[in-house]
Amino acid sequence: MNDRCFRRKLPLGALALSGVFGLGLVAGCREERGIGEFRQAPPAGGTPTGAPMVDLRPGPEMPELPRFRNPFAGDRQAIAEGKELWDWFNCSGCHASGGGAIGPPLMDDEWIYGSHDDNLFASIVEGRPKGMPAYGGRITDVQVWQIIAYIRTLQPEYAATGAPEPRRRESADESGKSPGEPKR
Amino acid sequence: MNQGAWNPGRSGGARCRVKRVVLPIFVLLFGGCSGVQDATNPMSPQAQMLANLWWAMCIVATLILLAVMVALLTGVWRSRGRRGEAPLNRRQSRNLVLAGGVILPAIVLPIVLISSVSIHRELSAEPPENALTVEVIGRRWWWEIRYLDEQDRAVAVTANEIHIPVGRPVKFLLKSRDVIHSFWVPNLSGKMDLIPGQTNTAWLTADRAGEFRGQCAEFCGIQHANMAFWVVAEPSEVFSNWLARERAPAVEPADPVLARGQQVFLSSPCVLCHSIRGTAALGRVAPDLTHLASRRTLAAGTLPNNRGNLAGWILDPQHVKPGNKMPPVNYDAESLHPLLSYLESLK
Repeated sequence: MNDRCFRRKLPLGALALSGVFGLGLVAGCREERGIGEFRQAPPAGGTPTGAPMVDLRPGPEMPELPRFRNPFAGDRQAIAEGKELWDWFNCSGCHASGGGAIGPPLMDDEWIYGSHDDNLFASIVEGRPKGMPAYGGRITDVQVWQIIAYIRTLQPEYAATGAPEPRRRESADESGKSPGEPKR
Repeated sequence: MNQGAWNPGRSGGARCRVKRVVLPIFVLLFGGCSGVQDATNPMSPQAQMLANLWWAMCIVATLILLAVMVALLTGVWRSRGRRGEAPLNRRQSRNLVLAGGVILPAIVLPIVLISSVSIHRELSAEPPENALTVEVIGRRWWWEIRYLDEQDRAVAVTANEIHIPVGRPVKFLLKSRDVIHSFWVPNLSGKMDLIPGQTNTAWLTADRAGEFRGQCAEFCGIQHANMAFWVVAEPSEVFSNWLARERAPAVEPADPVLARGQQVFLSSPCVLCHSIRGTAALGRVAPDLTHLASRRTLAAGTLPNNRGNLAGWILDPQHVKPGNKMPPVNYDAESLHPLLSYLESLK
């Protein structure tokens, strides 16, 4: 009887075992981030408007104002999306591939309207004189940040250091979830 | 099939296994044969040839498998020496290997190869002169469909739904704007890849009217599984009416609510990616919405096209299809409802 039970269960056991192996194989192919993380909320604290473009201020010394940082800085998924948006929304039409044409180059360290993330955000959203269109209301905040993440990769420091290390976005870190460092 | 090898002597146990293991596997395997996306239910001469080839290969392979299993079982049975038969001598073994391992494959494999190649030759032949030309462009993760006239100008642009006339050959020009996709309508044709920087051609003639599901058949990223489309084969006069309507620009908003909806569309992020012909919306990176309401599905076959799904898709596309290229856009109710009504009016 025992013998018979064993024989009857054997194929099922083999199936279950191969299923487990299959799952293990598939688990190795997962993307850097989980499927729930594609629902990106805009960064907390609103969006940067009225970011100062220079450090000079009238009057006495003021405490340093908090600056907005790109929540997707160095996020490879965001960089890839930003590169796609760069062409979709015709940034390349004026700035070419970063070297500049009708618009100024974005791969040097000269920034007419400030070099902080929030200055870039404001330039894209508000537009700038002599031709930079105001994209505010036409693309979402997340898309603006993705484009900025891509712009940062055009700069010499990026070329020097190469692709960023895989890094979790701050919001994911703060929320206490620790999905574990992606294996590379 | 090879279950018998475990325990040939106990038929009760074997029957139990058939019920528990083999049947569910077959149910899983053939669950896909439901009709609308089914290569064994051919609706065109091209698919008929492929189905014939498939059945022929399936039968040949099954017969060979059975023969091998019989040989194996015989070997197992005899090796136990229950009948006291002498093993094959050297000469007999050699002849068995020569017949089964050399002569039989040398006959069967060329037959299979020749029938396969000759069918491929017919499938890849030039399409007839009177073929309707449809350009299919694979995008992550949807299908751009462009109907071309004799001068190869696009006369109508739609997405994720291809209408074709019954009985007239249709030539598909297959392209990709990003990664490799594959065009597959199992009821109508075999697979053909869409490769960036290259135009592949496939053609078919639908024999009967019907709606057939097609699916991207080359892994193309996170939403590959939700990159489907429908092929609607219909009588030629129905098709002509459909194409004439599809060529026309979008209907003008007929009342203030629809006008408000159009205004919402044109002043929000939709407009940078989507186009509605007849308005200022000319985006070309996302599906053309000129006749959105006439389509059966949303998001490339992911959802049935109705008001509720449309609202969910606009407000939280990353929930419906995580990783897709559509960003979530927040609308308050006063903007959303006119927008939905406007999009639903785009017949």
